[in-house]
Amino acid sequence: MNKLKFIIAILVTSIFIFTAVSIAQIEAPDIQTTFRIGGHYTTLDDYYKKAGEFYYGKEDPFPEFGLSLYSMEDSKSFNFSGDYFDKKNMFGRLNVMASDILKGSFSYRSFYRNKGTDLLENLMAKEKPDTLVGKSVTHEDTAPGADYGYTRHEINSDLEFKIPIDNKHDLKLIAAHRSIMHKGTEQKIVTMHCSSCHIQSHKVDVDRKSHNLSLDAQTAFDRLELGYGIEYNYYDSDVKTLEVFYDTAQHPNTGGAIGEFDARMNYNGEKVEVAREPKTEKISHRLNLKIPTGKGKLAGAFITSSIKNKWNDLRIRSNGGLLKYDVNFSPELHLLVDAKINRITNDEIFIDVAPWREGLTGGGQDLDYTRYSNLTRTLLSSNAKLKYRLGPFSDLFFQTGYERIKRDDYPEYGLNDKTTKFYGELKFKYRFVRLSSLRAKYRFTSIDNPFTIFGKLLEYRGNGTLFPLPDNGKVNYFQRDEIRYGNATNLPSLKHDIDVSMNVKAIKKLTITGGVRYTLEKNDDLDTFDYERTTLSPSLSFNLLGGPRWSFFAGGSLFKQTANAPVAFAMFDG
Amino acid sequence: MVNKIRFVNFPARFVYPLFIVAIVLFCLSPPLMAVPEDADYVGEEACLMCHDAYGESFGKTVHGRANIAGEAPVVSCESCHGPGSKHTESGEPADIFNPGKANSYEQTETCNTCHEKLKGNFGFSHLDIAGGCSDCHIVHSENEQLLVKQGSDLCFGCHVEVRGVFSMPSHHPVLEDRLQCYDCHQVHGGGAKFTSMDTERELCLSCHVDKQGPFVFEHDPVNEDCSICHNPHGSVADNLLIQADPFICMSCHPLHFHTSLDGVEEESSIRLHPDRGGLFTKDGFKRSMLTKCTQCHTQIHGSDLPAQSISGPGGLTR
Repeated sequence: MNKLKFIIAILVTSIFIFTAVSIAQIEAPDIQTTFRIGGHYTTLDDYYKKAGEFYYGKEDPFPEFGLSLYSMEDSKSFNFSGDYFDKKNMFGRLNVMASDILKGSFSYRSFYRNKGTDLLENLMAKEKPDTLVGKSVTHEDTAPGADYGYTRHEINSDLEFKIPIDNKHDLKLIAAHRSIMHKGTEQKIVTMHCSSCHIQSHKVDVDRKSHNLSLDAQTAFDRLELGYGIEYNYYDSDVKTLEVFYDTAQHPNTGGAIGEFDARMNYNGEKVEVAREPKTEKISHRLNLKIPTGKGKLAGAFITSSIKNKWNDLRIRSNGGLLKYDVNFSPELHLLVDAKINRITNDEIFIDVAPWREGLTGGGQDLDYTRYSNLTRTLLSSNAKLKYRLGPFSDLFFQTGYERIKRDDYPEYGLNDKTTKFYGELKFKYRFVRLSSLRAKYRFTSIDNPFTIFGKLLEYRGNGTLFPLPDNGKVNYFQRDEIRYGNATNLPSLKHDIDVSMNVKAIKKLTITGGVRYTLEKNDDLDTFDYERTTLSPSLSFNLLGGPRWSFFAGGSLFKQTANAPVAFAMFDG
Repeated sequence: MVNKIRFVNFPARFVYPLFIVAIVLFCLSPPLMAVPEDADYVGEEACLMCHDAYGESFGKTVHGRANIAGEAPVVSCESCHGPGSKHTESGEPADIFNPGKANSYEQTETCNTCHEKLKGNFGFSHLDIAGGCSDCHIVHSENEQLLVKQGSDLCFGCHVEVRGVFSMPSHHPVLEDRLQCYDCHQVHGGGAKFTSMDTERELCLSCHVDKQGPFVFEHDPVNEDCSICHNPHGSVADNLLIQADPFICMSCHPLHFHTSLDGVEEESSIRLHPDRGGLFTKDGFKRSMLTKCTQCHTQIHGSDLPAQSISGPGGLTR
């Protein structure tokens, strides 16, 4: 981690040094300076605080300042632009060209995100009993009235060297870095399940960091273009993980049956970590080449990556390749075909849990299992895109594609199910004068067996026979669960998408844009239910470009989405 | 029972009239602007004799300032407008090529003469789909990168409906200018930065790294596709969810059976936890179990720590 920070510091420092050198080299620089000042006022009337996720419920005037500096001479230039809203919301970017062979950029931005508060007031319930026994749920807020939110900081830096190899060829090296940091507070909720039905809310600090570092090398030998890139990502949190004492397992009302409840828990009556932040490391390599062939170009790439969970050494490995062929048969006819394959493997892991109600009558069932992952899969896809120029002002686009996802473990071992998708799209574009155009698109998608949750929803017919567990002669509720629920998905097996839009330049400076988008998604392939979702979104806008320094925009759009989908209510108690 | 949507009526209402409008526009289309033949280059001084106002403003553009430097490839009037000898003699607009009035191919090819790198962005980029470079750039503008507008406002000029979606209660802060469309979208085509396979899921995870895993206990849709639950532009429900919690969860999962329990309305003074008093409500269990699944299943994107119950250690509650 320290090595990573050191490399990032070197990169960022280099950009500032080059900036200083670049500015110093510009003799009597002619700097274009723009200063912006403005503001806005926010009023909140009966406004749910969460709705102001980024304008976080402050009823105030908000000032805004901006500054731009720009200078260019020969092949040297610098360009700074920055905006300040308040100490948690600001933006700045610096682009520097120190010479023909060296370019750099640096940017910083921050904004505050209000995370809202779960008041937990819905979590107070007690079963209507005839006696004292019965289920209950209670809540406890350890930081009542706390505000939660974090400031997101993002730093980007890029440095590009162009190293001449000979008179014709260069080697381009690009070093890039991005850091995203979250600093603030969040609410963490702890659920003590069944044994006490006790929900606790805790305020915890947030200090998450994600660092990306990449290095790319690109060169061309006559007609062959070659590139290699390596990228490294590290994610971690500097905050100590919350530790909470989980109540001793016993009946939530009577305090009795300690042995019975204890035998159903993985842990109780002890302090354990909760909501631990991930600690991951990702490294990827990309090799790509591009070569002209006849009237077209052939491009290929091989990508390999590995993501490691540093808490437990679990890994996701990915190896993929893609090929693209782009050819202009004539000025009117342009074809692009591509094919991609990607193999992802996610490590399996054995989950060792305590035996169910060990030592009690009818207990002792071994519930250990191996966690397989539906991420382990092979993806295949291919697309063909054809552009045909109908005339000087009109184009016709046709696209079609096929995608296949073959999951090894989906989502339970042995199902070996796969999803296939086919789509076709026809698009027409007509441009009748400058900035005036019409576009119409129709896309049809057919999906065979979209991602489905197996055995998690709804009762289904012919559900078989329940057998009591050995020893205690009783049927348990998890046995009922297993036979009563069917398969479900909220993804379509058929999709129609229509999109029509038009830009009209009404007068010289005024453009009117109107359009409508309609989407219909359906799935009636499952035995259990039909699913359907429609989206209708018409829009209209007016855009007046009054001059280089001012413009006026007014527009409106309607977004209407209707979904017919099942909601499953449990029909019995235990 | 699902209501049948009258899909067949939709084309009749919207598409057919627009198709007729398109045909009318096609018939009214002006002739193609072409580069005049047999013309010669005359130099920008000849152009500025009449178009002096353009000369002054052009000097402040990125192209004009590059010319002042003298070392970069010179961009003059005829670099884009082609040879102007016939036009200088006749004064007729038809005698010189005007990219602003050309079709998108002619216009784009003019720009690509120098900006070949964009042409090299393999595939059908935004450049092809849009009306040409001038949809977003004004060559005679003094703006940065010659853009018609800065930031996401430029994109919203055409993608108005997306601007509308960003106005929904939960959204990425694009309208607030904290993020820009180009943070996720490559307007000129090409791969996304800090992703390797350029998939949508990977794009989301390039910022939301904490969700990428691998986790010991997983939530299958997270491995599949973020858009199963989220709309990245905006939504009415919190956290960019396409439906509010608990309904998004209930479209795949049943509720806990506790929902069907009748409750009592009384002061809480239960024996086990007397310090956690309060008022129980009659419909308490329904409120508890029907408000937000993620109140208890907090680690919905995955966790390395088992939940408390032996029978469901992958409950994503810890």
